[in-house]
Amino acid sequence: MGKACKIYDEKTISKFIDNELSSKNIKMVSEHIETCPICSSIAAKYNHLSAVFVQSASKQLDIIDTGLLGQNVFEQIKRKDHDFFKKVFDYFPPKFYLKIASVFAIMVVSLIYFQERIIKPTNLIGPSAIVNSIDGNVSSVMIFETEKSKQTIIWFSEA
Amino acid sequence: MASNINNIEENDLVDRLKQGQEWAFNILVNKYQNMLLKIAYGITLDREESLEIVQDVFVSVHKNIKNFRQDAGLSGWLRRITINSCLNWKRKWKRRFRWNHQPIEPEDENKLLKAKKDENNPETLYREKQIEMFFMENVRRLPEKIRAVFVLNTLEGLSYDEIAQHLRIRRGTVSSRLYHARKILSESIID
Repeated sequence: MGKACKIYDEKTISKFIDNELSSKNIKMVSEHIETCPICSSIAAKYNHLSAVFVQSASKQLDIIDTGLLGQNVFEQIKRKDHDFFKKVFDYFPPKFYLKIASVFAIMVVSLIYFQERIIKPTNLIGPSAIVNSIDGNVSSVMIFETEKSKQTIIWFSEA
Repeated sequence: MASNINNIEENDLVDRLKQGQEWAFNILVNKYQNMLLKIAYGITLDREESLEIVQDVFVSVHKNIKNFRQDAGLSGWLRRITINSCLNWKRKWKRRFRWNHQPIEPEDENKLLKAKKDENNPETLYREKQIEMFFMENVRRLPEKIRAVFVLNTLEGLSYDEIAQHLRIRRGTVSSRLYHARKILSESIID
């Protein structure tokens, strides 16, 4: 933990290097920095940070090939111009489609809710499969299994 | 006077863009691509993504130029679209994963070492490269709102008022965020 200046805090120094203090304060801080090693060091450090960031970002930006940027933009625009659905979609503002989607979603949720609560489905679930069947001379037996509860049903018929 | 000429040129450019003149759009791209790339890279710290974002910004501009009102100026409008695109970019979960995924480094290496003055020494060059790398890692770790302020101030040289206007925050917030960014970043430097 470094020593702190008793006159100016680091936030003021931060504002000072950005030239965001009043002209009166700029003069006062500027004079103070010349005599205060703590504030001078903070100002130098903050300036150094900016310089390193600018330098690093510039190096990375130099690597970016901007030659194809314009061409890519035009290709993207032309592709969009030819896209029928995009044109239709762009006809109204996005908020309009958002409202439509919201209403549709509410309708779907309501439909599911009411279908379960009010429109009770008739119990038409029958046996899913014949497990076994036996055909005799006198009678026939068939064994079924229900679809959900897996209950066994034995069907017997006498000739 | 120079700013008047620039304004006239800008107004003329906007008019031509609204008429759909392709060459005007070409001028727009050439004129503003570096500025927008700088902002996009500063916020995303990803070259490919920043290039993609800037492309999308120009496509969006092409689409919305007819609705553009010249109150904020063309560069201000472009800047705002880019900032919003960059901040939205961070919200995408896939990219967020990549963003948050940090390489495991020894604890000591998170501290930046002071470079020596001898610039031709390979050891110094290596050290400088490492300093830069670790510095950018620390910038990456800054919360996006703080980083956006730092980028606009450092790379774009915008005043507190301009940053406040672009990000729709108060001037005092700009000052605080900038101070915090500096505080966090300077903690990784050994005096």
